[in-house]
Amino acid sequence: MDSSQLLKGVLDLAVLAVLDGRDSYGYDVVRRLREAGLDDVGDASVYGTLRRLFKAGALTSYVVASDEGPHRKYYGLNDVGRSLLSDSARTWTSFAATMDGLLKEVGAG
Amino acid sequence: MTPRTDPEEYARAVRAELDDLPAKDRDELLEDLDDHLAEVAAESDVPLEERLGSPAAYAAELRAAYGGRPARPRRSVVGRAGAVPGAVHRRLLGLPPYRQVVAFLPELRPAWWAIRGYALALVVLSAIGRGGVVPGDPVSWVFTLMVIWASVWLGRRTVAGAGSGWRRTPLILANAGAAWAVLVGVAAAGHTGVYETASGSPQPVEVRNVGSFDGGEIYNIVPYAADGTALSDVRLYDQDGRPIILEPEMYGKRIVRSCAGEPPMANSYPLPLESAFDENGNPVLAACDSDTAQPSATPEGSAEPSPESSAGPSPEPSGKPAKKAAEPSARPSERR
Repeated sequence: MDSSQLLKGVLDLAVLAVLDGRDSYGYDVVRRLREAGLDDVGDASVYGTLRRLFKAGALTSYVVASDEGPHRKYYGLNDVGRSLLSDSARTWTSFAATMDGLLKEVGAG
Repeated sequence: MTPRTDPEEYARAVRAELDDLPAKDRDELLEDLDDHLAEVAAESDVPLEERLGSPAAYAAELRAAYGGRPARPRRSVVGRAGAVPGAVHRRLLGLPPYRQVVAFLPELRPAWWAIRGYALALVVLSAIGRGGVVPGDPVSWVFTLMVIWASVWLGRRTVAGAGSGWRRTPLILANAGAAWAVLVGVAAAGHTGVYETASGSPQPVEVRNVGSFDGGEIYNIVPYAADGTALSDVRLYDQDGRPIILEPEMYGKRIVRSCAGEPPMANSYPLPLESAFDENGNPVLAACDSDTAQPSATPEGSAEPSPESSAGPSPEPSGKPAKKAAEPSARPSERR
């Protein structure tokens, strides 16, 4: 199965989870997702997701000047984002449990 | 660090790919694209285009992640033009009257099927020389009714969903053809009414053996209005716009010509007639009608003929015509 298709459905949740750990700027989010094992994650997908979540009011953002490179826009969760994260996490956990149950029967066969 | 594609150039290309988005959306989405791409570029010596793919692919991914909308394929000018009616339709659906019209249009479909069949039948009939706005004979009528039946049958079948995909193409073409035929037919029907002048120089209809009315033969027509007013210079045409011409010569009469001006129209009734023979049966020379009228010509000697001045079966001199006297004007047009 193409994992990039699966990723599309859960990218919001993955980004929210990364930002729940600590605030990050766009490329840092990409790097952390890849370090976590989501190798297929696209730079544009992450950037677009961050902008959409920010527009939806789930993120705060602030610019940090940098001496050696360009300015970095950091994103962090606000209350809306945290509530969205917990809801999405619950949905995912339940969904993953269902899938695990299905696959256990397949594996037993 | 010399990336082949520098971040600003790459960002510009991505922006160009998204220029169809509403300006507000685009600005929000691309607000810090340059900073972001600069960050990505600073990470590695590998050119951006190799790491991120083409600007077009990057833009499509952005679009999908940001709006959840699939990237729309770039459309040709024709495609955009084709989208305009659809967009107008969607916009107009907000208006209740338009919605109602759209809602009852499907109910008019059976009527369209019948009209479509009628029009196609008439096109076929005119192709084989039986043209007209109305079928001319029983065979044509039977044919027309059969085509209408077939058209309705086809319409019902199509609505039932039997035709789909490429099968619809001939049907759409046939519909377009029928619509054209209907328009042409309406235009033609508008023309068959009255020809004011002989502009198309239609062939005159000579009314021979005009039959008889009240035992007498007809060589002139004396029209009256419904209120009894005698009419002059009434031009009669048959159903195809051809002038209706009587033959007064067959009855020893001829049309009086005015000395000056054009000869009178042969279908302008009542005809100003004079006898072509005198009491003894000798031919009378054709004279013109001038101010000094000849005795044998019309008594009033007027170039503008009035019913009373014409020879022939004129009604009572009071000018109040007997009903039957006015009727012959309709007769000739019924005959072919």
